[in-house]
Amino acid sequence: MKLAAAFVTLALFAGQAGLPASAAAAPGKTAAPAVYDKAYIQHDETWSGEITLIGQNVVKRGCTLTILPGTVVKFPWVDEDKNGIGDGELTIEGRIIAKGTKDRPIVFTSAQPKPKIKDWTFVQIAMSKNSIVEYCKFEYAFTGLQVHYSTGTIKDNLFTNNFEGMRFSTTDVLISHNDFINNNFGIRFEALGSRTTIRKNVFRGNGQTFFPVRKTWNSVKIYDNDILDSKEYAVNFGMNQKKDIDFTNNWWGTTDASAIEALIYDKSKDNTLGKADFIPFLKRPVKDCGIEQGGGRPE
Amino acid sequence: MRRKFTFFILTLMFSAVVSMPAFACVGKTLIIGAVNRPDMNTMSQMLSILINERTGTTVVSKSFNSFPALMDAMKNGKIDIMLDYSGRCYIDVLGNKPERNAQKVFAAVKEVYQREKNQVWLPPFGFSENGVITGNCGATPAVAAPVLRKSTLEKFPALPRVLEKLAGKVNNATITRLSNESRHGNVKEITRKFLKENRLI
Repeated sequence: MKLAAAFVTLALFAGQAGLPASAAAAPGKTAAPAVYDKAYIQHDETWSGEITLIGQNVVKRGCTLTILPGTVVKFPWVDEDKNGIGDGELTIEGRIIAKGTKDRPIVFTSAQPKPKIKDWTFVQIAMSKNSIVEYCKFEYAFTGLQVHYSTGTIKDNLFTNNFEGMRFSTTDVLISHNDFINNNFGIRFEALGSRTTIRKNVFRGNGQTFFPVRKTWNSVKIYDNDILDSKEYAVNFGMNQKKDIDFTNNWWGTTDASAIEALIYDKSKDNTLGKADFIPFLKRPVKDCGIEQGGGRPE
Repeated sequence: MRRKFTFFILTLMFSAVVSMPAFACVGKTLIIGAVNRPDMNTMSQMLSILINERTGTTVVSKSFNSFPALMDAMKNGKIDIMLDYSGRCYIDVLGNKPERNAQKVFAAVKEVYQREKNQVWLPPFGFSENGVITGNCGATPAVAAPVLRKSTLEKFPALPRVLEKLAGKVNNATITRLSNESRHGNVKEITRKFLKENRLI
């Protein structure tokens, strides 16, 4: 019980310490354009039109942020800690319902006239239940979307020109029908027992498509994906990824097993690492893969 | 009941972390400092790529005009790792006379840096300053190696294991070739190719 009390104290202290100088944002439906500067949103909100987020913005636990189709969320360049990564971020500790449509996606992007990778930090879903992210576009971020200790659905989104398309740990999330195009890392994860499923996605032109950094095992299901044109590796095991991971039943753009193996950095190249099991692999592209009727879907 | 309690504890732990303004999930940024010269620029890039690709840590390289400026940045915590030569430190920093026993030089520098500066010398890359710039420095050879602040080791405990993969892998001929190639090409591409050929990434 002493341990629990210590954590309670720590949590309360951290909550206090984290309060920004700026006041909490006003409640209700936000008329465009709106600017949030290090805001703590402590009530349900609905966003539409153009939203500008400066620095770290947090939707607190118990609150739901709804983002309507066609909304554009922009992050101006601010780098207070001089680490070369824009500080702009949106962290959801409550719940997010960001449901764009095929014709009116929700866009998370840089506010820079000449945008580049790492212009902003991320959208992060943390300790959230049943969040929904659909028909959204994430571009020019450090990580487009991070999901930790959460459940939800990530579907029909485009992740493009980010340092990392997605990152997750300890989640129970369905990641399906998304396009991951031209990111340095497609999906980075340290699953730690996650029951996440990754299927029916298109990965194309990413530097390293899957980057399991450490402590991932087969509770994560990765199958029925098109994994194409990885610039470095399709799968790159981090130096602490010691367990094998199941990558069977994916389409790798070839039926040549040795060509697929060359795309994988695992035990075959460093015997301290686990193995990426990729046999059996699919012999043709997956049907109905990627964003439904989206631009990233292969012909 | 026990599961609920465990979940409660985990929830509180995570809440504590995410409530902090600089939540670490962006990835901690590691800063490598090196003096602006071809061999050090090449090694700085090589370390950046190796660390990033094997651990996922974001790495920034910073260039300095002189060794005193580099050491100041290290002392003041503006960089996490620096690249240096043991022989140069043995003479210029510790005030010793030139010494031809390279192992003795390295051991002496490592011991003093650890004790007096809270900095840790990791195993040398495999090339010497003399092998790069003829006639400089009395110690033979003045080996190049990464130096970490102790606080860096606490923040990035996996670093020694990553960097030790380069120990002895870059000899005089290799660093000369890579540095020459980098003068006319893209240093990132050249060092990445080297790492890949050696199955380090």
